[in-house]
Amino acid sequence: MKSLEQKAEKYDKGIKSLTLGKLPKIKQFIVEKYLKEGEKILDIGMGTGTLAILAAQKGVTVTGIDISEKMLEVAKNKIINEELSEQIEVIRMPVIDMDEKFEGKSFDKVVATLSFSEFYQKEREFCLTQINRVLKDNGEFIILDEVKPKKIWKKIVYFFIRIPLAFINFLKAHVSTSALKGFDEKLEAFNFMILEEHLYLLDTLKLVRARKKEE
Amino acid sequence: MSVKEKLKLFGGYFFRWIGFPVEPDIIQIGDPTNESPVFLTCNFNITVKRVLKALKGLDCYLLVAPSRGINVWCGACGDDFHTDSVLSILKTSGINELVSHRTLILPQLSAPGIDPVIIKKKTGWNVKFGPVYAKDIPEYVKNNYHKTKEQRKIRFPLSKRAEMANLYFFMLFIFLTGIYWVVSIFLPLLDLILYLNSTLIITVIIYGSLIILPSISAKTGKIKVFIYELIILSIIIILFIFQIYNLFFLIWSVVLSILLALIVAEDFNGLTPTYKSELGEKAWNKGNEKFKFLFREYKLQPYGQINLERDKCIGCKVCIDVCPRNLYSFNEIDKKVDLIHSEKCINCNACVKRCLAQCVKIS
Repeated sequence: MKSLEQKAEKYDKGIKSLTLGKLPKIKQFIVEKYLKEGEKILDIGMGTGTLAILAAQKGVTVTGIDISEKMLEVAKNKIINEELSEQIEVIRMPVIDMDEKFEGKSFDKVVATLSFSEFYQKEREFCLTQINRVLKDNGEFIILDEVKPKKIWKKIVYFFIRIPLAFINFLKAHVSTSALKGFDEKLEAFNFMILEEHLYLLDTLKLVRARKKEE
Repeated sequence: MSVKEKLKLFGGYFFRWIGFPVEPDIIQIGDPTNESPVFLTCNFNITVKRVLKALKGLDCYLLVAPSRGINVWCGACGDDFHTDSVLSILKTSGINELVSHRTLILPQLSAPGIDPVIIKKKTGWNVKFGPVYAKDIPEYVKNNYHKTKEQRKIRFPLSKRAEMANLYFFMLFIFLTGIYWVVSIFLPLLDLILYLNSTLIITVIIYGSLIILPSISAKTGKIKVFIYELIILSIIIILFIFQIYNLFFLIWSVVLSILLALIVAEDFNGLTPTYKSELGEKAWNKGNEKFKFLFREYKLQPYGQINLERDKCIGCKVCIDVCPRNLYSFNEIDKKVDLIHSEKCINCNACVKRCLAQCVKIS
C-alpha cells in the first residue's frame, strides 16, 4: 500500500482500517504461533516496525530492513519508546543489497509482510534466492501478502473494492502494487516446502509458512 | 499487444502526469551474442515503446529499469529514476552472465539522477551516456559509440509540443467538465453550446500557447502568455461586437480564458525543455527544497546562475557529454573546458552532479 507510505505517521492507522482491523491480528498470530524465544529473524520491509516490536517483546532478535526512510523514522521512534533498541537492528537498504549485507545461513526465520507486492517480478525471484541463502538449515520463510481470490463471487467483490483502491494508490504514489500470482509454484521452484497456508479478507490476503528444503 | 496494454499506452499519451509503468525486465532484441551492446531505459510505457522501435534491426539487450513509470528526464531530476534503479536491474536481470563486456549505455538525459562512479565501484559496469533521443541510437552505434553535437541537444519540435499540450489539456478538460456538469444542475443557463464553447477556449489556450509561444522571445513566460491572452480577449470582444456572443457568453468566456491563462502562465517556461522553470526557481529561492506538484511531492534541483571554476577543471569532458544545451566547449590549448553559453542554461543540474572535479556550481 504505497500511498500510505507517503504519509508514514498515518500508516499504522490507515493499514488497519484498510484491512478492516485484520492486519494487526494476523501479525500477532504470526508472532505467537510461528516465532520462538531466542530466535534470530529478518524482517523484510519492516515498515513502521509493528511486527518487529511484537517479536522483540517475545524475546526474538530482529533485523529489520526497509527502503523508505520516512517509515523507518516512525519505526525507530516506536522502538525507542518501547525500549527495545538492543533487540531490533534497523537498516535502511534496498532489498537487492541482501547479497552484500548478510552472510549465508544467518537467520532462523525470514518474515515479509505486505512487501513482496511492491517488488517487480525479477526482484521477487532475486529476493527468494537470497532468502533461501540467508536461512539456516530448516529455516522458515513466513510471507503475508495480497493475492487475487479464486472463487467467482469473491472475485467480483474484490474487483469493486480493489479497483478504486488501486486507482488512488496509483494517483498518489505512481506505483501499482501487484498481487502475488502463482506464488506457491514459485516458492516450490525456489526450494521451499509449503507447510501452512491461511487466507483472510475474502481470500485477498494470504499467509504462507514455508520451510527451506534440504540441499 | 493486449487490450490492457493498449489502454495503458493511451493513458501514457494523455495522462502522463501520473506515470504509466511497465514491468522492469530484460528484453532481447534480434539475435544478441555475448559481445552485443547493452542499453538501459526507464519503465515509462511510451519510452519503452519508442526505444524498442528505435532498436529494431540491431542485435542487443535492453534493460528496463524501475522508475515508477516516469520518463527518463523527469525521473532522473525528480528522484524516481536513480542509481539504485540501475543497480537493481543489473543485479536481477542476470545480464552479467549474458555478455562478456561491461559497457552499459544509458540515455543522456538520465545524467542528473544516475552516478556512473557508484555503478562502476559497486558492479564493475562502465556507464556511457548515449544520445538524447532513442531514434539516434542506430547512428550512434554505427559511429562507433561517439555522439555528435546534434545528438546531445534537446529539441522542442511540434510533435513534442503537442504531447506537452495533451498533458495539460486533458487534465484541465476533465476537471472543468466535472465542475461544469455539477454547476449546471443549479444554473439552468448552462447548456451544451456553452460547454462546447468552453472546450474550444481550453483547446485554443493550451494548444495555441504551447505550439506558438515557445518560439517567441520574451523576458519571462508570464509576459508571453499575457500577450497571447490579450489577443484571445480581443477576439472574444470582436465576437461580442458582431453579436455572435451574447452578454452571458462574453462574461463566461472572458472569465474562463483569464483563469486558464493564469494557470498556464504560472509556469509556462517550465513546460518547455528549452527554458528553465520559473515556478521551480521561485520555490528554490524561497528555500523550499520540495514543492507539491499535483499528487505528490517533487524534489527540486538547485536553481540559479551557472558558474564554472576554471582553475579546478581537470578536462574530463563529462559536462560536454551530459549537457543537453551544448553550453560547453573544449579548449585545446590548455586542455580545459569553457562555459560559452551560460545564458542558455536550463538548470537541469546534469553537469553539476556529474562533474568529476566538482567545479561546476549553480548559485
